[in-house]
Amino acid sequence: MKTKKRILVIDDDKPLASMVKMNLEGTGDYDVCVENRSSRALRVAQDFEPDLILLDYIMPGLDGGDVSCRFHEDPKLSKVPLVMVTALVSNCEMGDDGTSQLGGHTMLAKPIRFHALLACIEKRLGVVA
Amino acid sequence: MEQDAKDDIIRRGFRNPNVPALRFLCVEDNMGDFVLVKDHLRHAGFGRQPVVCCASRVQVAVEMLSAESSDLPFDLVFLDLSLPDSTGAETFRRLRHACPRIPVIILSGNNDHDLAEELVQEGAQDYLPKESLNPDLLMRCAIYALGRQRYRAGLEKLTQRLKQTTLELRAAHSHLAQAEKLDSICRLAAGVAHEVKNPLATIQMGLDYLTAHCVNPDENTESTLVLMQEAVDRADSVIHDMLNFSRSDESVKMEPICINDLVACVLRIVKHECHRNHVTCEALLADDVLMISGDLNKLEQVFINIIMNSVQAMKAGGKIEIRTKRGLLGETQRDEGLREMNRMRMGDEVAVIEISDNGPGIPDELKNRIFEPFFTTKPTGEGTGLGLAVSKRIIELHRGQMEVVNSEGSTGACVRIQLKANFSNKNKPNGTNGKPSLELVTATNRTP
Ligand SMILES: Nc1ncnc2c1ncn2[C@@H]1O[C@H](COP(=O)(O)OP(=O)(O)OP(=O)(O)O)[C@@H](O)[C@H]1O
Ligand SMILES: [Mg+2]
Repeated sequence: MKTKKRILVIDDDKPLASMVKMNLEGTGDYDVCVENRSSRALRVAQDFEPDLILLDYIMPGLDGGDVSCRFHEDPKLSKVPLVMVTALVSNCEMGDDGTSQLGGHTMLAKPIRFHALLACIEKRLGVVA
Repeated sequence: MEQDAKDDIIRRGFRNPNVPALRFLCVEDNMGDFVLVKDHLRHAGFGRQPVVCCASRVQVAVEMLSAESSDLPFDLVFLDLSLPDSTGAETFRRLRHACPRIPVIILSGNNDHDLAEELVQEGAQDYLPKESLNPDLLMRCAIYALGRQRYRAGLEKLTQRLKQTTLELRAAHSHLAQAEKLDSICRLAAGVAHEVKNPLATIQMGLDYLTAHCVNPDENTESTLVLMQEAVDRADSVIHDMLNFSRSDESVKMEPICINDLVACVLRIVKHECHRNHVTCEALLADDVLMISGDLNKLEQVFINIIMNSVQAMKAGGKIEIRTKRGLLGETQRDEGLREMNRMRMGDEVAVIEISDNGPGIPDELKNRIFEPFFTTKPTGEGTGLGLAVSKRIIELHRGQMEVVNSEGSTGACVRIQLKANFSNKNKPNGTNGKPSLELVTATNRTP
């Protein structure tokens, strides 16, 4: 039996986060942990030791950019692939700051279809579909 | 005599022998009186002897004043009120009505102060009793009348300019108000769009879950899921349009584009949709290569919007023609909302694209409104009213022009777009905005 991949979903939108969890776990391939408060993201991530992190960009308090910075400073978490999900549509709207730390992370625009999300996650995990 | 020469007389003085002679018309049926006036004027001491002509009736005077060749107009009229074809105030009014600009000095046999006041109120320059005439008085009155006339003419010109300016100001103001309105709609739209995306994403995920995990769904469940998916797609495309609409020009990525290629590409995209609706779509392309610099995706979107409008307007089928040609920008409508240094100017070389259909056309009273965001004549679910608003915005971000004109020789609508031609740099890519780009995966693809 193959081991399930662990995915951490950080999104302040509770219904959305739990829907993502349901879908991912529904495939039978993933264990999903949800965190709605960005301020706790780092601690939860350190405990959960995810294989991939799904991060909402716009959140009250610390936003996705801030959170990804913290992950970056953590020796273990900096190696974990990060997928950004955002309600912003284009990279131009990101503004100049923050984009450099984001380099290399995949961005997804909301609303996203599950199969597209899944494809993206599998790609980042190096899973051959 | 030209206005300049007349001004010259006034500036340099009537006694100066080097200025042109003045031309007077004396409207008088009594030859004795005419000779007297003429005599006075000759002895008044003008630098050059004035020319004095006579008309014995108002009708004749009017004919002489209006028929005279423009290089020898009269400068001033001396008018007797009692003439064979008219008497009293009526005489002045008739002349005044026919020739409103010529200064008139009334020479009267009576000394009616009330009448004098009344006629001066109506624009007569002076009212002189015949028995008190003398050369000096006539000359003074004539000179002062001409001076006043000169100022009046200047004032008229100013008033005209003021009227014109007021009109322009009013137009600019309404443009500005329109631009401000759009601006606040934009900001609102962007806010709403972001706010709506999260719930929409939740619904999408829910749908995906149900679709994947509903074992043996019955027919109703299946069609429910399909309808819900369509609804989400529709909402997403509206949001997409709204965001597009509120986007700043930062997001326009300019590259050299060949207009004919662009049209060909758009035709491929809409071919199926046109065929399905029994609409033929024909391209009449310019022979030479028309290059512009623009954002390919956005311009494609503009043309698709316009063509889809035509298709939707021709329910029973019809014909669309897309014409491209080289042109020079005609009179520009200034858009105060876009205060750009490098907007197009009259005479600029442009690529013109005209998309015309033979549908019902757009009624004149709607022509001003169709570019307003959310203006639509289509039933809910069929039109959001953003198509043309977004398109116009995109064209403006390209510093181009977009307008709706009547199709020539048919009832249908014709949309004309003019984009600044870029004939010189055909191959060189034209600066992207220099930002590091992130890989952006958009889940839902907008299909026409
Ligand atoms: N080719 C045309 N013939 C007749 N009417 C037209 C044509 N193009 C546009 N219109 C009128 O202009 C209105 C606004 O068009 P616009 O594309 O902005 O919105 P829409 O087509 O109603 O909705 P949307 O494009 O957002 O789906 C239309 O509802 C229609 O009344
Ligand atoms: Mg439309």
